[in-house]
Amino acid sequence: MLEIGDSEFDVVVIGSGAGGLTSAILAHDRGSKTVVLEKSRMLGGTTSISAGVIWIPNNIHSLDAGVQDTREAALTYLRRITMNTGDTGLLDTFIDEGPKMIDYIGTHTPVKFGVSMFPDYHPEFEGARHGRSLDQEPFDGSILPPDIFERIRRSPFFPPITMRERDEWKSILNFDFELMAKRIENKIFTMGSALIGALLKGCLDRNIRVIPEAHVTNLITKDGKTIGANVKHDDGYVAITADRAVILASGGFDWNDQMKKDFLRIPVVTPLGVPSNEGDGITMGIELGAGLGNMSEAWWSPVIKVPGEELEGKPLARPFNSERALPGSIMVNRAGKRFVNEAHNYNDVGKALHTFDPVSFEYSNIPCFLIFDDNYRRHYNFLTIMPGDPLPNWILRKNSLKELALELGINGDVLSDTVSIFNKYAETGVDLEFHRGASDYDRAYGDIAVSPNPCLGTLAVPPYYGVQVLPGTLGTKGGLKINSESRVLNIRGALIAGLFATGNVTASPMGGGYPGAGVTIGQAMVFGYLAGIYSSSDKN
Amino acid sequence: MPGFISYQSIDELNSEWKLKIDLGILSRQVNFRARITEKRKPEFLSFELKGLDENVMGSGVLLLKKESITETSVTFKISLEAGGQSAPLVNSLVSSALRSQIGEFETQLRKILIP
Repeated sequence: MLEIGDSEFDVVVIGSGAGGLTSAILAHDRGSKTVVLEKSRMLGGTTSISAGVIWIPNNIHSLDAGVQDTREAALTYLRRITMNTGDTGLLDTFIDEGPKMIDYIGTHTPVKFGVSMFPDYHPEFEGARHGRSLDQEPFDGSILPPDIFERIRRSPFFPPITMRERDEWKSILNFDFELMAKRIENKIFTMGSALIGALLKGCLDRNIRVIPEAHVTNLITKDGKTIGANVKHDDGYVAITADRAVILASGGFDWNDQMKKDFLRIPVVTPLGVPSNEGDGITMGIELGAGLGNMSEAWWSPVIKVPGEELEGKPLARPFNSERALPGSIMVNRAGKRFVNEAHNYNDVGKALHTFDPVSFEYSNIPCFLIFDDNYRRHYNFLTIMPGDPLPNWILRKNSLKELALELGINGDVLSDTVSIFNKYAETGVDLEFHRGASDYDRAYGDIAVSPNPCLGTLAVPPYYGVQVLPGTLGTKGGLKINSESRVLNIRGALIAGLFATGNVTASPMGGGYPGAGVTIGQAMVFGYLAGIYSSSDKN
Repeated sequence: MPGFISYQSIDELNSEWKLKIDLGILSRQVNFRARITEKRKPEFLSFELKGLDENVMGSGVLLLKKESITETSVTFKISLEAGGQSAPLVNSLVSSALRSQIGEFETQLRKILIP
């Protein structure tokens, strides 16, 4: 247990993801005595288990790498992909302040960025680019104090490689597993844990206290101004004062079943974020009269539940990208029909699972199923299962499609027809229904050795395999309304004095859109950067 | 036994075990088939392990040695090794997980034997 010690600060940051740590660094550098309080025993929030990528258009690293980007191109793309569901003023702020945040963090902390040439999630839209996503250089965790190092999560989803290595190696079958083992042994972090490790080092270098297992239960106000927080810590309660501001960076409500039921647009959503995302910050904001926005939205993803896997005592589900894009797999619903370009980005495929059929009065694609044949099994990984590994019992295997369909509860006749049609697409290389493999995004996850379409291959070699797919989320993205200085607004649009917010605790300006890899962290860090600056300004 | 979920005897020599192993990045249920390779009652037992759902093999030894009327020393050795392409990474994760889990096993065993 790390002790809180002092209880008087200028700025109190609640949450230790990338948004919270960025805001703490900026608040400190603007002269505020700052503390970071984290509810979980582990540090880094959902950032720590993510790929750690940051999507910032027009940033200096991408421009230096040759990416031709402009403010106008980025805004054109963002307006299209958010379908004007987001806050357009905040989108302007995001575009204008993002490059400044990257400059600052890259210059004043140990965070080292690399450029991933990954495409935006709709590369066919006007204004889209390749190369707006910034990757993390590996970070040497051994330079951190042991009690901090031990509290940084490593991702259960991503192996210890960089995104650029993943882009270069393409398939998990080409991964350098010896290098990965050495990185674990040598305490080297990559991806999200590298970003958190480097930001934490930036905090520790500034003597910013970062306290795990410090659960903020409510905010303290005086004369309408937020002046502190009550914290449950070490079996007791402590009142922490914040002379200037409290910054909420405590994540979304993906692990709060009641809030999901109250707000999300579908009834059951499997979370992929860290279990501490229970909507605490949103609840505390509501208690102070905060306005809410974008509450029905989340960063969606289809997920597969692997029985017996847990993260911090809670069931762990897995996102899956290449499995949907590699030749020899399809996704179908209970009717046995394909319903989406499987290789599309996870947010949009996730949304396709929400389709409601008013005739049958049910969600047509919940559950749905990923089906693949033995040719796929012999050539590609499936989640962590490599070709040649034993088949776990949660993956169903049958000698015919009809047997597989019967066992999974799928219409077998329709499934056979669906596969016949899909196999014709695979032979011609053109998916006439859903255009799988037509975009650069799809092909980034396909098998470049397969032609004419790296995302299409027949399902013709028995046995056949199937697993259930469910709707999930990387995190919710509805929450407290903020302005362009990250100040929380009340239900009537006025400022709540002394209260700032960033990340998934806020109403995302991205609305229902997911522009590119790393926009979740990018948004959190940009508005965290602003929260840090303005929380320490004279106006407070 | 830390992580123990269930045990099923198949015959005198063979059994199946379900264990939850904390790999640090996640915890995972692993199903093993255990086969006793040598048994000398009451002090010696050796066994082999094979992952049913995972590309993992292993072996172990349990040795009890009477030290005095009131004392018995207990030696338990276990090794696990992953196979396949991802073996180096899995072995690295299992190595630290096993150290931590065996340490917990030792602590719990001590509590039972020395209340």
